[in-house]
Amino acid sequence: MLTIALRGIAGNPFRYAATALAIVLGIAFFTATSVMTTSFEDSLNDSIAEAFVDVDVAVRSAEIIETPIIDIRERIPPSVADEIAEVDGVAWVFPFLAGYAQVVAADGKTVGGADANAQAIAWIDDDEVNPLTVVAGRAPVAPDEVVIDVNTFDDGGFSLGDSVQVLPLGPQQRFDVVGAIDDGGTFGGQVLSLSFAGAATVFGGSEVDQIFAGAAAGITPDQLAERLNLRIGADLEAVTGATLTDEFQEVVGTFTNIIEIALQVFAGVALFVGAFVIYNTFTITVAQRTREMALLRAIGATGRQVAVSVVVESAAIGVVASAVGAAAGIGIGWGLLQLLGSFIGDLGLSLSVPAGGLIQGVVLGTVITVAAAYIPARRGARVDPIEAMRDAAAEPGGPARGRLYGGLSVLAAGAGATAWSSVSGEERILYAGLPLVVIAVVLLGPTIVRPISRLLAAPAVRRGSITGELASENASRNPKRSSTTSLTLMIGVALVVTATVFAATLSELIAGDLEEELLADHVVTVSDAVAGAGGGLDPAIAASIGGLGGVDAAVGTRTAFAQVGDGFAPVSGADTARLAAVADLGVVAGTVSGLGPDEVAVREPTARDEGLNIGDTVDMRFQQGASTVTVAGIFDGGYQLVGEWLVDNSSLDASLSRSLDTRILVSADDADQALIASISAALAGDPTAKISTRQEFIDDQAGQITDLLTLLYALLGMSVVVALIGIVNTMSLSIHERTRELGLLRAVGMTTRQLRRTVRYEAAIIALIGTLAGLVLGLFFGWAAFDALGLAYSDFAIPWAALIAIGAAGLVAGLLSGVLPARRAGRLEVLDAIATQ
Amino acid sequence: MPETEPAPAAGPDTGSGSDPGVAYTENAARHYGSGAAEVRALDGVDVSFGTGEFTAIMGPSGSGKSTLMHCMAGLDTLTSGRVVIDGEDVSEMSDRERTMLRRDKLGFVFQAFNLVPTLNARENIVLPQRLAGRAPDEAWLDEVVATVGLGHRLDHRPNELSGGQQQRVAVSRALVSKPKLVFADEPTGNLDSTTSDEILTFMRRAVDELSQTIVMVTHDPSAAAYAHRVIFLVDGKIVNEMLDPTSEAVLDHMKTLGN
Repeated sequence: MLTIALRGIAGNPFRYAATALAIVLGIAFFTATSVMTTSFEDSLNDSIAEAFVDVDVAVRSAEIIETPIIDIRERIPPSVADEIAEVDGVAWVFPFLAGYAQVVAADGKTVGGADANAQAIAWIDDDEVNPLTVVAGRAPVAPDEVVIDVNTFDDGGFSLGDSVQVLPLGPQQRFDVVGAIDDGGTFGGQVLSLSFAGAATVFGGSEVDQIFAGAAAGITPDQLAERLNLRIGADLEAVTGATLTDEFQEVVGTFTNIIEIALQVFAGVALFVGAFVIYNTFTITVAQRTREMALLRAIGATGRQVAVSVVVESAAIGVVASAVGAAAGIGIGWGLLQLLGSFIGDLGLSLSVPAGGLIQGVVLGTVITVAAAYIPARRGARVDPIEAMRDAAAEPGGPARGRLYGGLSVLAAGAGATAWSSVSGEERILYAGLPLVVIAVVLLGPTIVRPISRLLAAPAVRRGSITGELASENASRNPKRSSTTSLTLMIGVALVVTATVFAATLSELIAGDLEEELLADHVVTVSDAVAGAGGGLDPAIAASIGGLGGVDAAVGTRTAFAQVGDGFAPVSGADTARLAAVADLGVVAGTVSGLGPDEVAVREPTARDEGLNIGDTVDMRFQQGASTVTVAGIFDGGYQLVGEWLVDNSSLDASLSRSLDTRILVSADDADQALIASISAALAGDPTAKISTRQEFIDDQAGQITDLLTLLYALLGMSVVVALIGIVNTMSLSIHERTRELGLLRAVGMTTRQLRRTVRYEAAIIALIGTLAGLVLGLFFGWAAFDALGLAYSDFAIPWAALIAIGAAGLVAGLLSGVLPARRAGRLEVLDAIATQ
Repeated sequence: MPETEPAPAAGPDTGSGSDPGVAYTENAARHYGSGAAEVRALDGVDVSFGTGEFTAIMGPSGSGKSTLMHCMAGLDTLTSGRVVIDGEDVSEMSDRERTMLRRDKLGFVFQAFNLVPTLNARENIVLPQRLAGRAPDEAWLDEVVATVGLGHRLDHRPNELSGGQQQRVAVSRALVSKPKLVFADEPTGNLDSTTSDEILTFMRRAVDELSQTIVMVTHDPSAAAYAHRVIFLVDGKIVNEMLDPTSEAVLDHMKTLGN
């Protein structure tokens, strides 16, 4: 039987080409994910280990603000270094401080574009400890000297001796470029280094992140850390360099893990779709080989042997296709790594091939293939030997009534549960309702194939098109097959539509809120990369814009991470005295204007969750300062502008080494071109600032979600491609099955062109059924997700243009997936076809 | 007892006096393979079919009778020689022209798998006209359907029809476009004798009453007896022909061919 199974593949290699391709793509995606994230993690870990290899002990504050990714640690006074230096067994100490800074090139712009990553560290005067090495010129010594990483140095066209501006400081303060450095891939993006005094100027304070210390001969880092911990205050802690490395690597691991899991979810969807394709292929081939199997049964093979031969066939295909997929995954992973490197800067990324990931991929692909082929194999085992004597396999009948009623019942249950969850606000019922709806669609699929394909072909049939009529009849002659084929496409389309609907709704919500709440006529912003690195605009800029003639108010806003009560929260700062002129936060109690240094305003949902009322107090701790603040105001709008918590900028100035504006909201008496020109002039000192009109800003904010959507489309694209391969496959197998019928059609006068058109139409009908089902299901999912968030129904946005585009894409994809099978049908030799027995 | 004539006398003139016929072949040859493995399925056949004539082609297995039919219908191409149908040289035609020829001028009845399973009887009958984008002649359709006796089964799909009914639909389809020539390949091969008689009687009536021209390949002497003329093929050559055959005479003659 094993021989028969393997001969079966060898005899019909093309029959399995599509099945194999479905697995190859899914596993390639899966493996590439693993290869990319492993390489990323390994490369980063190598640089981290390299960076701290010569640090024996680091002394730092014990106070941290826990955030989901990397904790924020309080900075400590540089004088701690002097204390430590006196401890017996300490060979050397170096203060370490890092933060946002970037140079301005001669053309007045920053280097690497608005989204470039940029930071600076204080120079460490020790070749061993310093992760940076000078490759040209010399190290910075004086407070007004700077060295630039060699890539930025070259790209920005700098020369030694240049006098440059270093952001966020203004253009008046000049620094001399004294050298170019290599960061060994530790940081990525732009890296500057300044003398300690210079760094303190740029970062707005001389507090340091940590102090590195070296152990004297004969003392281990652990011993030194222990010794230091006994000497320093309870608010400080000493850890070994190895601990530091572990901590950083753990952060990298957490981060890459999140990415890997997120990507593997999409790979999983593609593999799930692939499983349907495999199931369909084996179902069709088992049906087509009924006579062959019946013959085997008639001459003495047991049902079990027949089933095993199918399973062996699937296992052979699964192993080979998964291995090819895993190999391709290494290549794709390498490509993605290069792409990643080009986005986030040169991190010295190198390829790591995770053996575990490869083995996982091969095992997963094989298991999926065999599992998907199992049900068809069982069906093969049940073939009656008498089938061998029958003339022709009976045409499968229409779907059973039981399926219709069963499907409708499940649909009613699912829709009922969803409605109930919507009314009662009980989300858990929704989690039961959504799968029921999906099951109902799968059950009902075969019953709706005929009516929908007739409906889709109706325009063509009304025109008297015989090809349209035949295509429609062909699509519905085996409703289960067509249904399974189109449902594979439905999965991808439904997810695409869910994401699209959800994004459109969020985008409209954001735009709607801003339309209502933003009173400013112009908004000055910095890029997310600058804001994310802790950068921004010097508060003096907002002040100078505020002083311009015709400007009513210029309000700087910023964001800082804080521990509020027991939890982590982003807190916004604003010039609250003037805030009312540029934003309407929808105050429901108290006031948000002119908040004092010990006051906070909180958004209504958070106030409700935390049980806060006007006059209540909250503990709030920022990186460099903690205080107990009193709730002075509660507002219910303004989420896009100030988030959940709002304090005055003065509070942030007091609690952070340096607090910079990330937006300036400007309202003017008369917003004319002259005003824009004078605002632009005020911004000339910081090239990271960008001025937008109110509408531009709103569009930009509402459009940001679109970028995420594009990424989702790309990730879901693989599932759609696999589903389309499934359509090509089903069509090819159906055509093979209908060889005689096609021969008959050709004999009685169908032209090859008509034949090809019939096949393409059929593929298009199947694709359209999947697309339409996906559209309906996706809309439903989008609505359910939206409903679960408890948002108002009036805000539910249906992006008609996008949905129509998705429908049209489904039609085109269907027609295209019919091209190959159509060509194959067109090449059919009439005589061979009618002579086929 | 019908007369038999020796084969060499057969030629384009055969049967219908000086009329070259609605279709004829000239020295038609079809070889498969090459060298030692070469098979001469047709080895210089000259035959003509007159309008309104019902011709049966007979011969042992492998005699080339199906090949002759396929080549004449443009389903297969000759190695050498010519096939002319309604004045047009089939051997010169492109695939598309041959498709048009089949659609517009020829009718087909096969032994089995004659009908498209997804179309009902009526749709199968008018299929060639639909493919050509022409409206069927309703009056003629009614007449054909009435003659075949299918009226009440027209809305049924092939799997709801008996083998005999399916063949009647096939014959109706072959006739409804008023083709120049109908080719029937063992049309009663899968039917019992009563049903066969019905189908053959109908085919003969179509020739006698509706002036159709039918060429039928068969190995069944009683089927051949419905024809005006029987042509005997052996090893790709016409060896004999018989006018107004009876089944006994055909059977007797077949026995001599077997030797």
